[in-house]
Amino acid sequence: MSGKRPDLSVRIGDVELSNPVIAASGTFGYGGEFSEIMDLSQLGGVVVKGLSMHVERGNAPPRIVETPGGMLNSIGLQNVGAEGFLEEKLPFLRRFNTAVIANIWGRTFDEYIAVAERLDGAKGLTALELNISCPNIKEGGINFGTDPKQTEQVTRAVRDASSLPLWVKLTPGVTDIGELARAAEAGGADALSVINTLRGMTIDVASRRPTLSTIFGGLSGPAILPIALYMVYETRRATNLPILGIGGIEGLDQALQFFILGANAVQVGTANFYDPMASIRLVDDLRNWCETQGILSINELVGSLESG
Amino acid sequence: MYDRRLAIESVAHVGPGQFILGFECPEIAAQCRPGHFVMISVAESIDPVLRRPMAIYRVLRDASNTPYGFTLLIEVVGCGTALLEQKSIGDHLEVLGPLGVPFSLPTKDEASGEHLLVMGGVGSAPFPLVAEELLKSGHRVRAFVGARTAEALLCVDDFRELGVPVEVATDDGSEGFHGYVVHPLQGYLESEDPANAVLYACGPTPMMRAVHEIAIIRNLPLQVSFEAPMACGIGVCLSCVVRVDAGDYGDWRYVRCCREGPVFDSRRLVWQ
Repeated sequence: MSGKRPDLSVRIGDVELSNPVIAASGTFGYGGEFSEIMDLSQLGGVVVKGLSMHVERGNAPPRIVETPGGMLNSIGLQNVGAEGFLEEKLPFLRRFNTAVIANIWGRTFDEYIAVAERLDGAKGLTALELNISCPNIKEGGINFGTDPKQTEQVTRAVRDASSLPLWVKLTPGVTDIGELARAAEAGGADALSVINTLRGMTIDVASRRPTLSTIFGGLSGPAILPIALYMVYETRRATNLPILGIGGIEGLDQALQFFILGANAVQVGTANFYDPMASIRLVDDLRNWCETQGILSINELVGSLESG
Repeated sequence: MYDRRLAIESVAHVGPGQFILGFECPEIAAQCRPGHFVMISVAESIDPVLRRPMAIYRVLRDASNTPYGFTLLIEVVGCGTALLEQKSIGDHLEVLGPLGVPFSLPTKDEASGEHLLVMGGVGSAPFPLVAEELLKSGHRVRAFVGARTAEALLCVDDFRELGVPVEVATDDGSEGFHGYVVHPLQGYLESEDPANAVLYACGPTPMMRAVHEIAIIRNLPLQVSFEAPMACGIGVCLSCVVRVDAGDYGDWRYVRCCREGPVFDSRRLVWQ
């Protein structure tokens, strides 16, 4: 053993992260709650709850239901709005030495542009993550994410509206995710977040009604890991853009699979709910694993998939 | 707030599908206030994956009165609590807490009328600690305890041990008043008309709504402890929202039951 600490830093386009572990949007709030039990500076980054131009109240409860190895959610992107984020949330996040990524969404093209413009130039903001794949908003979101033309157009529109690095979060609910990845790349994406939740539903047998108020919701948690891995595999075949792997990551083993497939960083999502220290522990576990494996940089692992 | 892997130190089965788990954890115990809750894991595997919110039942203290542990009073309502019922001493659970906004209780020096604790089913769990705290600071307490049947009644012995007068109601009439617990409460208020009474309620939502209506009519303060499906318990998943009054024109907004609650001033809530 050389005793040299492994280098966990990664580059996502022009963005340098101190390590490749990022908290996923919608599972970490705006960081405040988690700062009570961990040092946010230990994380590579934090993607905040999806922001819209205006305050969003969200869907009626019930908003979640547990499923085998996971959960369905239909929060409806409740958020404080771009203004609220800039005034009340971002100043707090600036105190930490971690990348802050604003996940943004809109119901229309214009709403996407408006929120991107409002956040442009905000001090302490590292990048935008474009949510074109939320299953829980009636008027859009997922439609932007399932049609390659619309994906390219909305990516370009936001690209033109903001000077911040732009990550595009893709939905797994398509026949060929590679096509959507190329569309986002053509629109000017700097990186791809793969994947968002999958649509699903459950029925309350006693009442014969859907369990969620909105009938269907987004499936997340350990159950979606193999789908997420396959989607990263297909995305990596379609593009050389940096990939942020998301879906069913609880700890070291899952994260390593994403890196081997070619993800440059990972996002921990639902695990934050049931194991609040999961993301921080993953950073330590990655460092220790690299050390025992004699890996000097995490980048050595990225895309190291053996074929055949 | 601490996230700890704790061994179960004690298990007591107290009624049909009702049991008490005990834990030692001085850090969590020292911070526990009446009405706080913890999120606890139920399985070592990923199914079911989410932790469950459980109210703190009692705080355990050593001979020098220093808190060293706490207990949870649990009733089987689904697959998670059914798994918990199978646990034995020495099994480990992940425990995050204490969490939430506790009951707001008067101090020693604050004058107050009688404190009326109204509870149904496993909603009784936080109230022995509430009673203990109120008695310690010299206030008068009375408990109204409801359940489906006599054997499903919870916390009655706790109140008797504390010297708190208890009125009981059961759905099947097997003990105490035959019907909902709201009726003995109503009867007590009508016959005694206690000045400056302070109400607290936890239990099924229709029960809490009925207590809320009594509180409005009689102009008495009421704190309710709410329950809602929650994934994280710390305010980030936004699953457990409840409607609260947003000031003018009947407007409302969602707040998180886990963070802004679970205890609310009943007048803040929009009762649907």
